[in-house]
Amino acid sequence: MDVIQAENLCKVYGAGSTQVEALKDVSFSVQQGEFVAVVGASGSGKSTLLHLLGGLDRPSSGKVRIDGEDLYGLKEKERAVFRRRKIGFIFQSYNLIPVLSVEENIQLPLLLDHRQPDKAYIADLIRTLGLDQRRAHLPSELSGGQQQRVAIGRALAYRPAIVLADEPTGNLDSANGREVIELLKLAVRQFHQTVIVISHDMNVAAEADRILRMQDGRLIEDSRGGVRA
Amino acid sequence: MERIAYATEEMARLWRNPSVRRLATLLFAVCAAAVLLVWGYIGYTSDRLRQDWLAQQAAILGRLAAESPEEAPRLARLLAHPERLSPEELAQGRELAAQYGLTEELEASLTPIVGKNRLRNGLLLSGGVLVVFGILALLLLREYRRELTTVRKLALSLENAVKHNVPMKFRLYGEGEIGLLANQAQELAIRLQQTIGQLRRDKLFLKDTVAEISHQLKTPLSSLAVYTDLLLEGAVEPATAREFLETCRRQLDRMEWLIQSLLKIARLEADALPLQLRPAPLGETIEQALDAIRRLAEERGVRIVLDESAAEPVSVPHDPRWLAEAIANLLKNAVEHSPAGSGSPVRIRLERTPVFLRLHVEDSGPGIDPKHLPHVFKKFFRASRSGSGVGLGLPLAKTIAERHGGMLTASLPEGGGTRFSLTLPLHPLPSPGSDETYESVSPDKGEL
Repeated sequence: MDVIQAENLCKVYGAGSTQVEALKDVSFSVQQGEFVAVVGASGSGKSTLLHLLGGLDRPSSGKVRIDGEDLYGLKEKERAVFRRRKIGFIFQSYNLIPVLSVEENIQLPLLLDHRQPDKAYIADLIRTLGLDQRRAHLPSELSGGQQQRVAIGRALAYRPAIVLADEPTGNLDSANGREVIELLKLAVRQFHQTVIVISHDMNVAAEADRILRMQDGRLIEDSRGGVRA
Repeated sequence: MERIAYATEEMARLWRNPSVRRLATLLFAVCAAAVLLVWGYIGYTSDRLRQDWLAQQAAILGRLAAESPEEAPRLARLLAHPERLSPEELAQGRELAAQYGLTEELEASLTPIVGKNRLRNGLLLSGGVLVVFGILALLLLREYRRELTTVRKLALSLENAVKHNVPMKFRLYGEGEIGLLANQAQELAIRLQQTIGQLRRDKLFLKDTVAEISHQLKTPLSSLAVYTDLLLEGAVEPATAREFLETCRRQLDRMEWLIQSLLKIARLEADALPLQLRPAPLGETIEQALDAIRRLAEERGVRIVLDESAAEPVSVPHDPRWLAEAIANLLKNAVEHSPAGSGSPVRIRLERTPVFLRLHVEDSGPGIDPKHLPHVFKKFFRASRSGSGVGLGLPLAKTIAERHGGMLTASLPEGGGTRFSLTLPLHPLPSPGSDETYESVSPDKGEL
């Protein structure tokens, strides 16, 4: 079953002589449960693609379907609700709320949707993430690896169908980076999620079931079965 | 305190519903309209009353002017400046008026101005109230119907999804209770589709596996048949007969191993055998695995070296019996792929991170061909003929790792050889469907 379908996605920034084509006619689909890595040099359109898949931006033309729903056919308000319930985001710079504790940051998506967090589940999640001793700490009191684990917890709190990660290991050393990727892989299996990770680290890409390679805004390669050097 | 907090929370929850908001807007608008109407009405009737009153006064003045012209200007001045009249004059006037029957007991209908006014008031007010309430009722019904239509669409769409296994056509992404209900219904429909898809895939997979198993069993079975037939015929030299019997023995061992491994995988995959995950020292489990593999390693002249990282006592939730099986399979694979009799050992290394415990088994063999790497965990896959196995040891190890909430990966380290890494979470991720999670949810308020 296709969870994500990108159809002829194009994105143009600016106009006239300063016009930049960030994405040129990108089409692909992702199956439920796949762990997909998007690789490519910086400026190849990876982040733009991820933002369009997550409903954070608007394509110049083309469609994104998630679970069969045309993401940009929804009204702005509906899209916000859709995003909150269906998609978890993980960013390179973690994007945690600095004034909220670890536990509060993780529960945030649930609180935003006005749901009662399932306390036992959240407690289990925090323990799995190795943050048991840090649950009352603020993000500024944590290391980079710990902060990214909080971000993973936040992306998993709602058990969204899709997790989109933009360079999740970009600010981490290789040991912490590997841990982040392995946590994501476990989550995919445990919660039947679909993960798309952007990375230019080939070790990360090698862990994926499938690699999409981008160059100059085009999708130039789509390969399955990663091989790690 | 708590109840107030709860009440405000309840209000806030109510307020998030679009229909409640629409209803509130509607009621506010109707109230505002009613207030405006009341003011307009009061303005209108008092104006009418004033006109009627003025007309009556003018008529009285006119009559007075005709009968006694000198009195009329005085009355007009008095009428124009009622504030100059004193309370004593009021009392005197009342007495005089009472003599003509103009008392407070006078029936309203007999007072010309008021009587007319009263009828008009009654008609206008009852008409107005009827119209306002009528409009309000219509709008309320419309709102109610709108909500019910949403529920009805949702129900029909869900029915379709359940009956015909299609995605839900009606989708709603909104705040409030209906939004949450729609969201859960959609999730349910998606989950249903996924489950059906998974069942189909499982069926196909089972078909392939059965075909593969029968193929794997048929080969040794037919060779067993051939050898026993030859032996039965008796026309075989004793030395050759012994050789045949040894071949038979090997085939039987192979079949036994095959069947046992398959049974184990089947039991694990079918969840027929729940693992007993509890914190236990990993060192003992590794020892168990080493005991199982020691003879094979000695036969092949391969040393197994425990790294000093493995000497530290670590505890991780696992089922010692099954994990030992997994580790033994990894060791067996490593021993079989190490050059026989060479000094190069198989190494066991432990690595602990804040989240995981990783057990690495590294051999110093030629290393797996990178193009085979993605396939090493597939059942019956064999990259080379050098191993004695049938291609089930690694899949079994992987299944065991996954049942521990962990994973098994293969990689090619820079120094050569092959590395298998068994990654176990120090605390397994909560599993969504297990009874354990269910129990831990139920003591909560059970709210969404």
